[in-house]
Amino acid sequence: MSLLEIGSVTKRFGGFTAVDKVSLKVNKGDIKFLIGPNGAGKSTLFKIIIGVHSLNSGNVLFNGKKIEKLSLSERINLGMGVKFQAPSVFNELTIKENLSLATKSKSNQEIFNFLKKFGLENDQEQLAGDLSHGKKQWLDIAMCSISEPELIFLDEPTAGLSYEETKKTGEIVKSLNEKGITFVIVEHNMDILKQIAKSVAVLHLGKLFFEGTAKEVLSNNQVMNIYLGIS
Amino acid sequence: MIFLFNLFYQFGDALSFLLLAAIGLAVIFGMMKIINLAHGEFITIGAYGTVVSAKILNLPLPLAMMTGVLVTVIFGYALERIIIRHLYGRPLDSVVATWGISLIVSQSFLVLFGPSFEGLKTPLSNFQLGEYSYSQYRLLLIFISILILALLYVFFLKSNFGTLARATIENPKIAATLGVKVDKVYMVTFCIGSALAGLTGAIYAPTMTIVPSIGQAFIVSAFVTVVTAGASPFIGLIPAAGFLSLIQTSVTFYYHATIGILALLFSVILIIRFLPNGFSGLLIKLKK
Amino acid sequence: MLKKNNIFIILVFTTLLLIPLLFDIYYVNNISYFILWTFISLGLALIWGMGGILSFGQTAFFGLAGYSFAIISINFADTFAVGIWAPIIALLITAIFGAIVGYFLFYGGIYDVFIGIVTLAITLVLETFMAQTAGPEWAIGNARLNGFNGMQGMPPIGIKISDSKFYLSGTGQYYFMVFLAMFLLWILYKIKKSNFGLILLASKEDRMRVESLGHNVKKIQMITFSLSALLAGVSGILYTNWGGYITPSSMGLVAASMPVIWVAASGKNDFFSVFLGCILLVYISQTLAINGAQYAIILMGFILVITTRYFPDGIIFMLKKYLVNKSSFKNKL
Repeated sequence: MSLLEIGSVTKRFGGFTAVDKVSLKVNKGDIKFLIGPNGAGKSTLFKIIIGVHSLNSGNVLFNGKKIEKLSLSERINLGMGVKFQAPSVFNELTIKENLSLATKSKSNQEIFNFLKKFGLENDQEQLAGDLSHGKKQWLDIAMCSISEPELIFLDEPTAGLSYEETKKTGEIVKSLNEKGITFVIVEHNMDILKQIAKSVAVLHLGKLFFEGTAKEVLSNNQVMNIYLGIS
Repeated sequence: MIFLFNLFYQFGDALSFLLLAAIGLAVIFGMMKIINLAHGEFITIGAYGTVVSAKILNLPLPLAMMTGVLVTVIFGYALERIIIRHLYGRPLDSVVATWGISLIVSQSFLVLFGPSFEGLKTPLSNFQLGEYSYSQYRLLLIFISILILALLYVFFLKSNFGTLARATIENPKIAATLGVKVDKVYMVTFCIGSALAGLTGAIYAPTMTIVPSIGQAFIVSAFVTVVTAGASPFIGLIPAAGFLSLIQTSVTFYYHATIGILALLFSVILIIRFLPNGFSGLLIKLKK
Repeated sequence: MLKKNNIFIILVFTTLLLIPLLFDIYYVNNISYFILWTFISLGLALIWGMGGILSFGQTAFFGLAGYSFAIISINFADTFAVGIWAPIIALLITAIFGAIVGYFLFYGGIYDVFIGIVTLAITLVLETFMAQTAGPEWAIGNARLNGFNGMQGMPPIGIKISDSKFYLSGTGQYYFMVFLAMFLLWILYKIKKSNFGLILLASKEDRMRVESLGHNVKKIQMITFSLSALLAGVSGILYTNWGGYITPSSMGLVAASMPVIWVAASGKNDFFSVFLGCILLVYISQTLAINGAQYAIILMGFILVITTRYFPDGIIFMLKKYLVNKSSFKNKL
């Protein structure tokens, strides 16, 4: 049984079909990248899985359990973590307060140790709003991973990051994955894909166009053409 | 036949009242998203401006009404420059500040003019149909209110400035990068809204008792109508006013005026809950 | 080690506790009147300052509690301890009604300015309805609602044991209010520091993100709304007991704006500033009203405008910060 199963999911907005009968399986331990040109339906699919959008048809199974009717917070409590596209940390709260919102049981020491992974352990009393863009992204990732959910969704985690910061983000994801956390990552950045992706799904015009390992996808001419806009 | 005319008159009277009450607020709240709790006071200023210039300056009524509108615009301009312009994008703060302004204005009028002021005679005369008499003026208002709304629709949806204003309000940052003087556009739009509220006061002044709280009679109806109209006030205002006056007229007909107001308030609660984009949202959805 | 802020709070409460020893009963009753309004303001500070939700419904719950207390206690006027359990039941009714309205708002997806409009509409509905209950047919049991004139003659809060009367009035009422205020302020600060408070504060900034961390934001907001309704109800019942009457105008348009004025001007983000600010503002408007209610209201209007424009954190809060910081002799050593 896969950790996450998406069965023939369709989503329409008015007359426009954003997601068209997409089926996907995510296995435990995977780092699956979801790629495709803008408007391909990646973010919509992502939002359907976590419960921000409803779906028109199809189903979503988490650990074999149907979750389409559950609210966002209910799905999170089943063992999911989520990071939205723009870094959504709480600017008016300190880093420590941001994290204590994300975890119910960790002690101060555990929070401190966890923050070391992201280089944020000495900034705990700082207001999140004062952090640099890169640190905000990492805090955001820290918030969705500190409670060690089974499955984490990241929507464009490297948006606005430098080359170095992107590499570090990849390392963070890899080390969390080694602890047993499965990842589904929506991305445009090919560097981080090459760095850590185990499997890749390509979406185009709302449909699942191609699925395979990172190597298979990168060497596929059709996929690269779609990406470069020729097709 | 007479019964039908009676119904038409009652309905039309309620409709024009709601439309005229809402029209200034439709620009300021509906378009600019400024929650102007001083809207009633704008209407009061328009009314007093009209009555004072008619009685003390002895101006003929149409000129007096224009004076009333002018005074209101000046007030709106001053308010926008001093306070409102700092509140764009701060809706809760604009609630608090405009409430303060409404308290200042209404109580100042009480101090300056006393609890009541000599009123004007309703222009035109009454006519008799069956056992009721009707006011020609208020019948005329039904058509005037729709005309004003039509003019506004054309102005904001078809004219150059209207389109510019709508675009700037929707996205001031982009408008600024295109060289638009965002500050000025907001100011002019706010003044247009003030002028319209002043016009409402001027138009209704000859039909009402002149008290400092004259604007209060309009404000609840104004907000109810604008909220019901929804995201695009110029599309939604007539259906909203129509729907609400239908409810108010029929409930008042079967029970009495207080229950009519209760029905209005209940309607707005239900509309906000079940039709969050108001009637314009509904119409846009149906069009698809 | 006592924080400077706490010293300020202790000073204020010590002063309040000493007042009955220094002034006559008329003065004490007057201050009681000011203090009874602090609870509805604290409720608004909770839902607005902490929750970011501007509600115009506080006076609706104020009136609901006052009327419920009047109706119940008049109907059971000779029952034992009616002055104890009638207010408690009235408070429960108010809290439940608050939860219902909160459910309707938050689970119905109503937010921002629309909450203000809906809650104002609810308040006006209550006022309009109660104002037209003048006829004798408008009665619940023995209690006539009396329309615009409101209800009077309800039993006082308190209890009569054989021949000893322990009623809330005079100095006893004053001390009850002061200790109640201390207790509730303590609870509110505890809430602010708790996990519940943190979730509420974060929801003010980004609701969806808080939900995406696994918290049921709607439930928490509904509970908070119910709590603030409860606090408004405390004021309502104390008001009814203080003056012996409750009228529909306590839920009118002007009345509905008063808590907003007090809280905005005092500093909606700090409970103690709201407590102190409310007392001062009610005192000021009472003093001015003697010379002409219009001037009092005009001043209130100016306070609102100036506060919003220049002191968005609240005048009292900024004053307190200034006083507290000014008294530190050595800042950095």
